[in-house]
Amino acid sequence: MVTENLTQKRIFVDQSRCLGCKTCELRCAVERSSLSKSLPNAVQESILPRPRVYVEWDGKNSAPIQCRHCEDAPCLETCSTGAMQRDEKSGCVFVDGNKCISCWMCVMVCPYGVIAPAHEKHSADKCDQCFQMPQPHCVAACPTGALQEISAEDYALQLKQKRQLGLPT
Amino acid sequence: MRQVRRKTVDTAAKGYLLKAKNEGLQLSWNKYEGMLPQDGFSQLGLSCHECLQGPCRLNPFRPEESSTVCGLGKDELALAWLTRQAGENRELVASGSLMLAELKHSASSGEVERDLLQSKAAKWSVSGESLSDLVAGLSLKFAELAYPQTQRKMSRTSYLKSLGSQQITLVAFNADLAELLYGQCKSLPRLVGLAVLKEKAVNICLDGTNHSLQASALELSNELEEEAIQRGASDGLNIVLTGDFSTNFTFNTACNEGTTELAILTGLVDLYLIGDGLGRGRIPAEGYHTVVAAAVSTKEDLREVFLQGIAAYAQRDLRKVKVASQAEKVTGVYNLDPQKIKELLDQGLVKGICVIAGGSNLKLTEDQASLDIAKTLSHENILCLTYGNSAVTLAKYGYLNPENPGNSVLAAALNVEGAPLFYSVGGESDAGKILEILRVAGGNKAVAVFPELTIARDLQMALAIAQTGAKVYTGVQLPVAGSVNISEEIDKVIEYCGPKELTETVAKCFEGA
Repeated sequence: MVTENLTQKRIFVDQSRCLGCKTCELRCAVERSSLSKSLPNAVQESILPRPRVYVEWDGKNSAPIQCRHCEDAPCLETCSTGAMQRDEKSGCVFVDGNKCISCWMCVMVCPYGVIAPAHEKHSADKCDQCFQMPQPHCVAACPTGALQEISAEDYALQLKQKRQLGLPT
Repeated sequence: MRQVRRKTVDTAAKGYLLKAKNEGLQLSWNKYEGMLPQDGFSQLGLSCHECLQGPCRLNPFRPEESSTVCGLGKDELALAWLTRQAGENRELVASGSLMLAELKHSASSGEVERDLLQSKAAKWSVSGESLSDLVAGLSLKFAELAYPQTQRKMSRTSYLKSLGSQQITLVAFNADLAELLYGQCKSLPRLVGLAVLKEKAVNICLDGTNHSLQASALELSNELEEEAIQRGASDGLNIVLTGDFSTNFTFNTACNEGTTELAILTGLVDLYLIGDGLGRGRIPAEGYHTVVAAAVSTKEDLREVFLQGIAAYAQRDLRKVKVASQAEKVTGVYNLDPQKIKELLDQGLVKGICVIAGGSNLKLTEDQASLDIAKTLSHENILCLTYGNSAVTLAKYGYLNPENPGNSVLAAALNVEGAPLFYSVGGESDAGKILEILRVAGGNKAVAVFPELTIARDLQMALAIAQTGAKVYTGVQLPVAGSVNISEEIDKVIEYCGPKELTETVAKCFEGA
């Protein structure tokens, strides 16, 4: 278990800005899963690239859902091979594909359903928040700024300010 | 503006881009960079806005999303975009209808040259006893040409090529109507460059306007000259085009489509009139006195717009005026003989034909590919043809300047005065002449390049040229990648080449010829 660290950043969604355009899904698939790293070529690859973020709609609002990198991560607990690991600096949980035995226990236990059984990779597949990169690709791609990479504390502050101003949250 | 890459190779641009930055103005490049990434679904051709049950989109990375609400799959969606673009002809139909009405009136009042009308009618397989019979016949022909084609038993790409050809045929028909009504100004030299905008004149920029409007504009420039002079514009009215040439009127051209904003940034454009053009000039016009107006269909309405432009002359901010000094001379070659070209090809005196065509596309470094290809091919034994916006692009860099001579032997063989490096057959409305040449001379000896394919008309011309058997290349990816089948099929008709490979690929087509 990681010591609670409010300054570590996570990806949060401003639902009032999310248009459900799924640009985040496209960018994630191209940048993190394709060989060509270009959209027109990626869609023609023999193994179809796979996004790790899922835009969901509750009938009223849409929001991209991805791995929350839980502090008390069930996937990390259940992984028997050590494929599921946590980066100490960012606190992000990531999959080491070389160690994964495709047992799909992590898929079962994830409370958000954001771990996918990627048969084509012989490994579980999930968002790692692009922790080795300057900025998550989905955040960079979001055309409305709905996706943000900020700390939970800062996000809570934002929400509070919006509520005080009567703005949509 | 972030320097994502070089915007244009036009040396005149640098000063004006800095001017825009200093004035805090956003230009089209800013708009483009600000909206990156552009919509991925549309980029792939996997979105549909045809009805209010959508807009639908198919996620290429979710195989379960296989069809739209009404059952269209990836192939149908990608094809729908291509078909719509290939068949787009609203402006052509509107313009042609106006001219036919005018022709009918002119014929009934005896103002049409009989021999010319008979000759044009014969060209379109129309016969008749009287002038009114001929006009009626031409009207029926127009209706036939404008009527949407059905696919019947053609393959998808054959249908697309056929659609494209149909629109270019309509362009040629309209060009003939314009010649009947307004005459042809022969290959008179004119100027291209921002310096055509005059300090002491009311400058009126026409962007993508049709023949009728240009005719009205010319009449009004004479009728309202006194009005302009009284307002302080001692040189009267100065009408210039953007991104085009006219074979009916001797208007100069300020710039190609890609640098229309620079014309506005001179601070000298008083009225910017947008017809079928993209209208990029409207962006910086917000920061200037320039009146921006949409094209109108009657002379009376145009007069009102012109008066607004004349009034705007007095509103110029002289601190923002930056006069350009460069303009290139241009000659067009409007009546190349296709049969003569065929003879030269058959005799091996000309290796082949290269056509450079299309708009200006800010996704690329503008003008670069056209210039690279022109530099590589213009001194080879290849007949280099162009028209419209591409002609303006090449003209900016001196390729249509009679003082920069090319192959004099070729020119002599074609009975062309001077020896241009590139042969411009005219404006966008003269695209049909290129097709005529390729059909007679043999499309299999030609290569057409659309380095910056931008609008529907470009695509239509590319398809029409492909139908002649010519190899067609473009430097812009068509939004059909979402369908593997359609991508493969269309790539055999219009082949995409990246900017770094385009020139070499085109040049290789003529090796061993």
